Amino acid sequence: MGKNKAARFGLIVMGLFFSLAILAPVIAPYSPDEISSVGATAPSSQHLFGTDDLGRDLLSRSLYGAQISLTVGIVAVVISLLLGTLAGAVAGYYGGWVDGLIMRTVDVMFAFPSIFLILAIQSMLTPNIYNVMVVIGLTSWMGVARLVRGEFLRIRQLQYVEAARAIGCSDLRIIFRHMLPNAQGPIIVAATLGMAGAILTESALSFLGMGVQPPISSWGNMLMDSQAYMRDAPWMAVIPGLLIMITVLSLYFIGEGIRETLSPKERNAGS
Amino acid sequence: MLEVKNLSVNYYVDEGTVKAVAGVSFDLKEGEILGVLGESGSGKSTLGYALLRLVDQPGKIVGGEILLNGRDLLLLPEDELRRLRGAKIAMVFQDPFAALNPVLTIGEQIMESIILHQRATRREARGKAVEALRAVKIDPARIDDYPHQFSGGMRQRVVIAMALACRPEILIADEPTTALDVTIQAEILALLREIKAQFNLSIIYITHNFGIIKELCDRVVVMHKGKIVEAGETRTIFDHPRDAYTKKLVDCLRELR
Repeated sequence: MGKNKAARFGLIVMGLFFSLAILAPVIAPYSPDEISSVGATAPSSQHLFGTDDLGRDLLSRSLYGAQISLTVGIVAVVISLLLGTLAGAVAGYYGGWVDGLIMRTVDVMFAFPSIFLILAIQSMLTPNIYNVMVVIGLTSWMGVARLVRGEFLRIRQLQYVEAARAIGCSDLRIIFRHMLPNAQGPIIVAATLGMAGAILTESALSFLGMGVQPPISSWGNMLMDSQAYMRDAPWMAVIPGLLIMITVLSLYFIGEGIRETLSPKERNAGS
Repeated sequence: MLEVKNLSVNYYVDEGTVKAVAGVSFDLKEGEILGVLGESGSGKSTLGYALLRLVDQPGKIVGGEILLNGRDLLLLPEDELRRLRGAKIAMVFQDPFAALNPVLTIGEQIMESIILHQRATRREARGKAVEALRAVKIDPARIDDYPHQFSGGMRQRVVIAMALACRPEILIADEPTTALDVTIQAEILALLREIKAQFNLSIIYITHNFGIIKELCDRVVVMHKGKIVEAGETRTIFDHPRDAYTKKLVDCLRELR
């Protein structure tokens, strides 16, 4: 992956964003809710990113917003990975009617427009950040399930799985010790891409007012706040928009980089 | 010690039912090497897998008995069978490049069956893995190496060490030399003969190569289209094949010389 410039760029940006998010309380010049100027002011030396309509410092809100957006991304992806890997592994390993049942469930979930499903669930629950993470996780595992199932169908044919059975390994042991580690590459790729997707979904939800609730800032609800002021204070929309775009792009670059490293063509060329 | 009676395995595919093993009976005596000879598709490999009840979908064992010291393996519940696999009956596979898990060290793979079957601690298991490696003449210092660091012949030794780790009574070898060079083949065959004596093993050796059978096996069963067409002492069958199919095989080998 060292050779891939885009992936390296992605890694550096994500490393930077994560560090900034973690260090937010230390480096943020203002408290995220502090009213530090009168109304929206353009970026200046006092407020590097400007301030929003209420006079809150946008740099500080972006930093704290990064904490929320990145956390939502990670937790949602972990949930979807756990569910998707489990479903895909069981379907791919056992095959037959178990496979049929799980994969048809996946098809049905895929066919359902997930943003409406999420909105419907969110409107029934109190829309807070924990629900956002869980709901995004619960509605984004299907791709991972398909991927892992495919990998398991392939690995299942390999002789070392038969060899593991021949020394008396149980199904669970074969799935988790022998097969899953051999499927980890594509799962890691799916995780990076999934995280990008989760961050986008969180932004969309917060933008629609069904995600992270004010006064907590996330990149999505910063975008929402900007709606009415597009003309007068464009920086209010541009800054969170750019942050979301750069993050998602970086994650795609990283995912693509890992995928390239794992592909047999690239691997042969490398070694 | 192992007696197979009327064993039948069917494959249920879209085109219909394939009788891969059709009413096969034979026995394996203690300390002998029994050859199972047959061409591709004769059901010989399926037979080997069936002995450990490892036949996969769409295949199914549909009848017969597999008596290990008088106990019918086909009647055992799955978890009891798991305790036998690797402990009493072990298997060596055809392709040493595919039979080892690329993400685990060879030590971990050899130790696995010891830990599974003997309630051994990791330290004890490691000691036994070292012993197994010595038995197959691999430098025990390489215990923490990964499969890709070994050549084909060496990997097949590792596979054999895995099979030997728990000191099984019976070893099923499914064409263990087919994927290897002829010189390496000879080494592996010599090794099998050696460990047979050392560990008091009985071996079922599955192959399509009459030359190997002639060299290695005490007795042989010849399979053709899922059935045993001839069985007996290797010498006798080689000198006086009675079945037409066996005759052809023997003629092939003679022509080659």
